[in-house]
Amino acid sequence: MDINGKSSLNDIIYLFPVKFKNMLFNLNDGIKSSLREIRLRSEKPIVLVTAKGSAFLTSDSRLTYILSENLPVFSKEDLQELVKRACNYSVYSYQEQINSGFISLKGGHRLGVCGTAVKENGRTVSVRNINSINIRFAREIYGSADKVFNIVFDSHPHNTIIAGPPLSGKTTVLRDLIRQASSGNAGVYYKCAVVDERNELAGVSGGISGCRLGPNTDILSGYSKAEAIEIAIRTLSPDIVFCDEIASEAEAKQVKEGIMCGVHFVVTAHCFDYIELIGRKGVSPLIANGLFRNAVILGTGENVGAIKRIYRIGSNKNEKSRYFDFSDDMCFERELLRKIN
Amino acid sequence: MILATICALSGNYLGRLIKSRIKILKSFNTLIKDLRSGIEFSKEPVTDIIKKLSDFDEDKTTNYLKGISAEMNEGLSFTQAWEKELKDNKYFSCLKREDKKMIISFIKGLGTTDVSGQLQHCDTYSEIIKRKVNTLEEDKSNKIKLYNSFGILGAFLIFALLY
Repeated sequence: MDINGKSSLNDIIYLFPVKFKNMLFNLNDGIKSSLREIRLRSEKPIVLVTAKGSAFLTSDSRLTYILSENLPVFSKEDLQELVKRACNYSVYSYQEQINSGFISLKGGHRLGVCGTAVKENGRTVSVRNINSINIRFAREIYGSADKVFNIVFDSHPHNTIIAGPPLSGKTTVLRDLIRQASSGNAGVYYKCAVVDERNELAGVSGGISGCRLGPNTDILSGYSKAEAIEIAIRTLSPDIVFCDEIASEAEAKQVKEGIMCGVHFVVTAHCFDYIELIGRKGVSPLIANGLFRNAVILGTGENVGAIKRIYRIGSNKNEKSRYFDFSDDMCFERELLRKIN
Repeated sequence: MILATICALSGNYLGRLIKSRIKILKSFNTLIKDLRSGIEFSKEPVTDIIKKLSDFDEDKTTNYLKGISAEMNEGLSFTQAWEKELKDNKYFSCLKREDKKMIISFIKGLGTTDVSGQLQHCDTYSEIIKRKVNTLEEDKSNKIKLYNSFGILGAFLIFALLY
């Protein structure tokens, strides 16, 4: 993975058949660095997603916003071979991931898989007829968490939710936050435990993290979140547990247990704004119980990774939880932003 | 006399080819067993197991695995890399077409199913190779004698035809 915003096309280019490899390799550096996703569909043109939105790849390595019949098409065979390569020709090794709809790639990049689910007793046991792939680039941007860092850490760490819609930079910010916390930027080398169910945060490959997460970080990859949190608390005695994409009630329950054990948590969640955040099943119990002090909402589009709003949702026993008090939240947000700036 | 010696030597050479064929098939069967263990106990990807095996191989019987890893790094698919190695590597020159076909068939099925499917796949091919090796070993001494006799007989025939 490249640092400072350069997407890592080189990390994943080996997946492509030779003709497409050349097309992607010859893209100009500007496009390469702003690349966020590559979307491949069976017998359809290749879609590249940059900060400006979706565009089609032409055979002479340019991007076009006009759909035409001359665009190179990714065949079904190409797609199958790409999936095999992504699995290192070992579907059995990635079966659980494929069943969950993704394959983790080296460097923390993620390959979303769409196909037909094969069910057995109501459980997905396999995916056949894979017809669409989405390659999402992991980004490692030093300093992207600087502002969030000031919110999470003052005299000690505060439980914080980093939220935003897809492609808002939650994972990138969280990754940088881990690095800073573990590297002693808060004045202490915090013991950090990273719960990385989808191997997206750390990008562990061959036992080595593909991302720089600091010298005092333990990574639990591949475990379910609830399981990893339990293991982290029991065996790693972390100061802070970092967890990407809290979604279910079981995960929220485990986070709550962890907080009750005196461990701090920084988690991310999908949502567009605060109203959606409090409506999320996995997050609402944590907010309602006043277990988290801050909710940071990130922006999208041109403002990826930038703080859109900060909500103080309480955790200090002396403070009244402001669960539904949006006007107070806004006031605090302004006050806090002034403090940061 | 010279002709008889040449023919007898070629008979001996053919016998040695069978020995080498048995050796390679046995070595491939060991590779299948190693792959099986890797798949069963660590669920490691096939490519990683092969890389490890090529790194730790001391008697160099699986030296070709390094070539396969290198060819895959150059962009060939797993099957293509094996096909190329079976075709170009002299190590496999004593294998018959049916042996190579069987190896490719095994490679094509490798990594395409879940763990139990893979274990079944490895067991099936291991059994096929084991039977093949047993048959070849039973025939080995007979065939070496036969080839030697053919060599001498051939020499006599050529001698008779020429003079």
